[in-house]
Amino acid sequence: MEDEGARLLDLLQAHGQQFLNSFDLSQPPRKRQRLEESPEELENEDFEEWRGFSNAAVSTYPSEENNNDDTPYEYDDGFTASSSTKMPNVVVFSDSRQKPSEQFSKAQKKAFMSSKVARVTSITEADGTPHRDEDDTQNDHDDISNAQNDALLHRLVHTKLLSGSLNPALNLTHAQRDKALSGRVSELAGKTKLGKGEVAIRAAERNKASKRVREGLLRKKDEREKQQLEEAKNLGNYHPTIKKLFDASSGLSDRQRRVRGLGMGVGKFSGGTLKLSKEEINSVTGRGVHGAAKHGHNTSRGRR
Amino acid sequence: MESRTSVNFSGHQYLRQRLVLSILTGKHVRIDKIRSEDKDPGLRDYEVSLLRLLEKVTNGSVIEISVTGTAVLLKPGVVSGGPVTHDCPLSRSIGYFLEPLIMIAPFSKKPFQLTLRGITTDDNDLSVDLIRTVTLPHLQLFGISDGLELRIKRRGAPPEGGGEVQFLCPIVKEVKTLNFVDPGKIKRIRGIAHAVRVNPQFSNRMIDASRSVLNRFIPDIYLYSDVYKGDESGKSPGYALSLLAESTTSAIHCSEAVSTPGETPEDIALLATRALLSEIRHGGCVDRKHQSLVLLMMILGSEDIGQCRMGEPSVRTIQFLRDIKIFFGSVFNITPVDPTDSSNTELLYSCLGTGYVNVNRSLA
Repeated sequence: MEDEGARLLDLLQAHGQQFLNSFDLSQPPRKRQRLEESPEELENEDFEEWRGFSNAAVSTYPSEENNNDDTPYEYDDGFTASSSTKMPNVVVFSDSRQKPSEQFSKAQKKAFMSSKVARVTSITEADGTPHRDEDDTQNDHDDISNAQNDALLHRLVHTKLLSGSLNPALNLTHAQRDKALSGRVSELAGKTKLGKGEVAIRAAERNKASKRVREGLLRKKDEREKQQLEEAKNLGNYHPTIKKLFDASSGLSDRQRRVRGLGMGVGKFSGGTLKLSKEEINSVTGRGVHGAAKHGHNTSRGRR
Repeated sequence: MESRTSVNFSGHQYLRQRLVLSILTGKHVRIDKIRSEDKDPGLRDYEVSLLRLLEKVTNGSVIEISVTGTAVLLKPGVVSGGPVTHDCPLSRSIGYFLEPLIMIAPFSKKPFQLTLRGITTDDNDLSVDLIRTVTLPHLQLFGISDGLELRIKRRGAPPEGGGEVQFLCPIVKEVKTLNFVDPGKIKRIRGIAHAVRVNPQFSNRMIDASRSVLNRFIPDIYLYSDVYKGDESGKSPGYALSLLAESTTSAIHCSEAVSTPGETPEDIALLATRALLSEIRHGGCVDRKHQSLVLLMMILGSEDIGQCRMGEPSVRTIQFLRDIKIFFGSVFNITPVDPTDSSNTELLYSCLGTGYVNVNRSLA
């Protein structure tokens, strides 16, 4: 056992020595002294316990054949601080990646590699300007714009928005002016569509009347509109593309979104297959959004 | 400047520039003794293909080729443009066909929508990368920019090709006068490395090798790796590196190197990098490959003195200047920029533009 271990250590040391001999290190005298001291220490050691290369090297030093005294080698015994004058030539083969430039050059890359020549040459402007702090400027902008909006609103309200009915050339009666103003106010408030404010006011007024009056008024309105349509056709002012203008009485403009198919709850059935999305599956199986919340069985919680 | 006079040349050299000048001026051109003493006399297949392409792109032009192919007569028509498709032969790259078309595209009746198929990158002509990033920006100096595009749909390396590009060029009424006398200092270097049907690490290797040389000069270097996969990568393997250096006054110098069998990507990258440095050393606002284009656009400019500072003219440029004198009758005034400094070889080219107006363009 000892011989086998010693033989293998011999081989290892010979290999190491050969490798280190390829370097030109010149410190013969110091090495000699150290090596002469340590064999004395080792006599007390147990050879079966391996204590690292340094001891092994020392113990087999006399039996070394290839070892030339002229070219000793340095070994790391872990205790002495090496102070060699010659450092080995270290060559670092590193994968030189460009990390910091990746951030700003993605936009530049897109501009440079685009097929439009105008964009290729426009990269002179996009030169990696640092991002300013956006939150501070955002708040300032909000304050300024709120005050500006207030001033603008005041100006508009008092001049343009509500005064369509104040035009004296129209010769409106007080009732008409009143209804025009309230229609305009409801448009601005968002209650009715633009242009249909007064219509809505008049319809509400009409609904207050009794049934006979109401129906009579509606009949009269239809007649009037049919008359207008005929007149427009006679004068040549009509075209199918402007049907909507002459069709003011129809309130069923939502007909465009007719639901197609059977609508069986989840999924879309087409081509013989039922197509389900992830959200639908989760909603059926009861998992997904709330999935993390109830891993235990919280049966008592709902009961109380 | 329609004229029924005929201009005679001999020899196959400078064929493209003579055809372009003939189309622009409307003069008939007759070129004879084309490789008459060669083992394969007459026009080559790519030259015939170029003539066919010019026929497609113009309207009313008549091309007559002699029986042996050693003489050709071009009676140019009007450049019509529009959508044109052409399959280029595999003996020359698409750059060979695209360069003369870039010179006539702004003066066509309808905007060019040209699709060319063939080899995109070659060591003989400008690759499509350089055309897109260097040649077409030179057109922007003259006011041709809105709608100018070169889309590289597929790449094709020699010998099998398989590449496709689409060239879109707007039409202009006239070309602006150029006054480009300040070359500035190089502020950024950009490059495109691509590898098709080989190990994709080749483009990274090229980029690393090129950076190892260029890093010591300026910090703003970015080399992009262009990846094309599958069908878009053409039929043959190959890789190339194209470099361009841009100065503070937007003068561009370019170089490129294409792979050859037996060379490593590092060799190719060093070749391209050193070519770029030597190109920058030649100086000027325009590099040697684009001197002809810039000089032509200066001559076609409005009737005003145009100036440009360039390095020494190459052989091709010198012949181009002679041909311009024959076709347009104008000469360039070439003076050294700094007569006292003998080491500075840059020259100032100035000319009086001929006021060429694109009369073909459809105003609708």
